[in-house]
Amino acid sequence: MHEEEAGSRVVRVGNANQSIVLRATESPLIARGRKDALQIATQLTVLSDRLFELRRQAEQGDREAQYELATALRVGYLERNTVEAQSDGSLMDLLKLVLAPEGTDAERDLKRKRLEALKLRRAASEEAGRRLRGIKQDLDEAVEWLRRAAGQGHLYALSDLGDMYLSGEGVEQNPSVALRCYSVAAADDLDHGYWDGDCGAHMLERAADLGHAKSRYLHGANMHYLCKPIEAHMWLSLAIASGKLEPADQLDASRRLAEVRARISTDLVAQANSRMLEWMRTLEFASMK
Amino acid sequence: MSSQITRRLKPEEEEILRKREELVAVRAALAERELELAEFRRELAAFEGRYLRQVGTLYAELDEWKARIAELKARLDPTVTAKSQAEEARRQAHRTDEEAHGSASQAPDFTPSPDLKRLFREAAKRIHPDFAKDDADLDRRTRFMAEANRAYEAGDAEALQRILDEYRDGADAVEGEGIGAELIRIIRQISRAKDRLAAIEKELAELRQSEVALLKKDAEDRAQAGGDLLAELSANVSDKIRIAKADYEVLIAQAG
Repeated sequence: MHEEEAGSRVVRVGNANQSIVLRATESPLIARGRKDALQIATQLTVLSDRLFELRRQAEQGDREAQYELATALRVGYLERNTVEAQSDGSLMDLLKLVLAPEGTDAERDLKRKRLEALKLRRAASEEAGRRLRGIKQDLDEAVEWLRRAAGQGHLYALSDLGDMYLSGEGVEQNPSVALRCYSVAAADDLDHGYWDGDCGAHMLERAADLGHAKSRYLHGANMHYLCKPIEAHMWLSLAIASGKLEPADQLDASRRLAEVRARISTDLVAQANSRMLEWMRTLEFASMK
Repeated sequence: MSSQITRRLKPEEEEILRKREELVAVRAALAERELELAEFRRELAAFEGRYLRQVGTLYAELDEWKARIAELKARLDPTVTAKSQAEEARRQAHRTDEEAHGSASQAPDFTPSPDLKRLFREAAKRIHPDFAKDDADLDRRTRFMAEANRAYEAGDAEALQRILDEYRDGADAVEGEGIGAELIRIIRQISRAKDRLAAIEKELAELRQSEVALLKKDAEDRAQAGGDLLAELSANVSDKIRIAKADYEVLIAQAG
């Protein structure tokens, strides 16, 4: 009698309680949140371990670590996450597809749309990376580490420092210091790593402007790739004329120049030549000043 | 000291006094544990509500995009698999939406006032079904206790007071019963109260192991470290939504 009573009572009184227990354990939404929360926690742990290690190495004078730490502090995150890396790969593929002259207008339009979508996606995951990895942006410290790395001959650090002086990011804006950074980096043959995004392309152009032969060749090759024959013609000619290219680059530059010439009309070649002469004149004028 | 006519108590009378004291103590302990349980349930429900409003709704949005993507894919490539995947994605989106916007998401989020706690303790002591005298009384107490639980979870002190008043007005008088009958009744009441205490312990332990309690604990740990887990989660899901939207755009472009 007592047992029965107790049993039925528990069910009756406990109705509300038990429904909560059931809802809590069976809710797929809660389970998803918990899974994601665990993931976030893991990422944070991995990150703080990594950051700790990076700081230790940087303080011991490892210039690569100094540069990596500075970059992390500058943008507020450490590594690209996998989603971004994946979409980055397809982004480059798509970029090539969009820029290639083949295909109908409709096809190019479609590719352009896909590219836009992927850019969106990349922006999203970049933001995610920044938040999840949770490194606070600290420009002062970033500049400090860039200086130390640059002082040890780290050319990326030097050229990044140039970027910061040029835009006044975390330091007082000073274009002439920026230019000095770039020139030193260019003179020390900083010629790789330019081609990683818009910023890279700009840096490449600046280095080309500053007279770095390989940058001129790479910038010319980019222009060729981007179907800008006049620019391509100018930079490739200048690079070849400098006589400072490595044999393989020299060969590729000549091949590209020939291709550009074959594609454009004689009219355009003349235009390209006059453009180049004009540019050289402004350069002379600038150096005279 | 005033002079009193005392008579020696019979052993069963001594026993009943002891049992009455024990019953009072058990009632107090049980009321305390009931309050603890109600409070923990309320905290969990409040956290779940906050979670569903802040993160759950985003999961619902994400599932909606996933369903749209699956449907669009099925339209672009109308295979049997694609169609069934689209249907499943749509069902999932529906389920998530229901859960995210269901009654659990409406749970109020408040800190209970000392007054509310006092009233609940009082109610638990007085109307707890474990102290019922007979089946009819048990029914009545069960009904009142369930209402008291609801009032507590809603943070409604007035309702709780009303429940107490109403209960007081009801028949709670002890009908003439012999000492033996009373002893048996009290012993049974104590025994039931102890069963209930054990049941509360078990339920608390189960609740502590539930997903929502674990998530709540994670959130508390994160808050200790200066973070905000729910904000991080919603940022995380928002990113997934943006990625899903981008995928959807790509598909729309492909569909022309």
